Amino acid sequence: MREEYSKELHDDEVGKLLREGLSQAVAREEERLSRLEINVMRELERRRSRRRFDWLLGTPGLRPAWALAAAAALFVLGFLVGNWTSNPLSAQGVEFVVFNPEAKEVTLAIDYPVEGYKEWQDIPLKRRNGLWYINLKLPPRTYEYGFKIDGQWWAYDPAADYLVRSVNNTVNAVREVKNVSDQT
Amino acid sequence: MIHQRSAMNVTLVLVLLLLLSSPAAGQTAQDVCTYIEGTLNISTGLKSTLCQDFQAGIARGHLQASRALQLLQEVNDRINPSNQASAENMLTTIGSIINPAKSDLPAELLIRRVFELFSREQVKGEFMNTAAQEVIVLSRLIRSVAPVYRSLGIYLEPNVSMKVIQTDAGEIELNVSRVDTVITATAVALDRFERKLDRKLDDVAGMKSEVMRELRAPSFVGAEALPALLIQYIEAHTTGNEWAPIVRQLAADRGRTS
Repeated sequence: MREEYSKELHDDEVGKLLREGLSQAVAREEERLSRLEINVMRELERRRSRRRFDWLLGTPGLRPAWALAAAAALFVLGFLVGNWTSNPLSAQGVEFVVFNPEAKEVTLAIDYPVEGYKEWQDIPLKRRNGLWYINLKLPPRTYEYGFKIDGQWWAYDPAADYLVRSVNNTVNAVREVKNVSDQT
Repeated sequence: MIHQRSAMNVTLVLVLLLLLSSPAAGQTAQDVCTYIEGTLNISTGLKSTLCQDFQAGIARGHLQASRALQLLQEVNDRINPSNQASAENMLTTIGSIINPAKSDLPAELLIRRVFELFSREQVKGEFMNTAAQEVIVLSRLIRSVAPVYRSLGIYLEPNVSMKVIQTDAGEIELNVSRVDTVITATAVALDRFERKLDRKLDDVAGMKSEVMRELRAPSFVGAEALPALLIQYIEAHTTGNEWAPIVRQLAADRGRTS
């Protein structure tokens, strides 16, 4: 069938078809080439603008912005955890707290050797916004204690279980630390 | 394997060195005597007696040599011509308490009161006289508590270091440390009770409760955790009435009658 059809075409018709086909192809290429310059310029501009923000949006592991962000996040996390663990009202153990914004130095003296301090030795308290505090892990027993506020003895601690006379005409506070099982 | 052994050996040597270099390591009754004879600033005539008392008390187990040295050094740091008599009085009282040939009793309550007073000083030595008075008062307390327990069989003859007492609930083993803990804990509790701001001298239930609490969880250096059977035995055989005259005497000794 194809052979019959080919045979039916004259030579000049074939030439005409070839010319038309070629001229259409050339026209398409011309059009594509005419847009190539614009496309190249657009691509260059696109890459340039992307590079402008690459330092911010690039690979996290390699970019200083991400490193900075990670460091800041770690700092905030550390601050929050540190703040939480040293908070006098949230830490475990036994809290000794004195509120005295004017004091320059507050120490705790307790009648039993604790955490490396001898009995009745001055244990320095930490300070935050006028609040002086320390958290001691104390075994269950009865403790007599008091505070030295700028060198002056003071033991009227509201957190004490009761007060006792001290032999040099002052008072000592008393705290009874109970077994956890006894408290429940 | 060889490396592991070497590391372990090195660690053991380091630990031993650390232990040997600690101030408390190897302190003996002889060291206490050497300190009394050579360094302690008291009358020469007293040194021999004090040395004998402390040596005997330490050998008996009433006091650790390191604790005795701690006391003697703290006292010696504060001795001056105006308080030397008080210091001597205080140390001889403690010595006679712990010497088995004299009282054969523990002195921890006395020692810790001395340290408490020393810690409150603005000027070193200012509370030596007060400490000496308080040591005498507390030695009387200790001497009053011991016979109550003696009547319950909780005591040791001076030449005996261990015995067993029979109770309805079973046998209780007693040694110097346990007897000392019972006596000191009771004295600590009664002393604390007497010093309470709102205490009543006829509150025998309060006295017993304070004593039992202290026996269950002693609050002084060198205390031994007491066997439950011993605590039950004391609880069953005391009412609080035996403590009332002792507390009243203590209050009177301190000039407090109500």
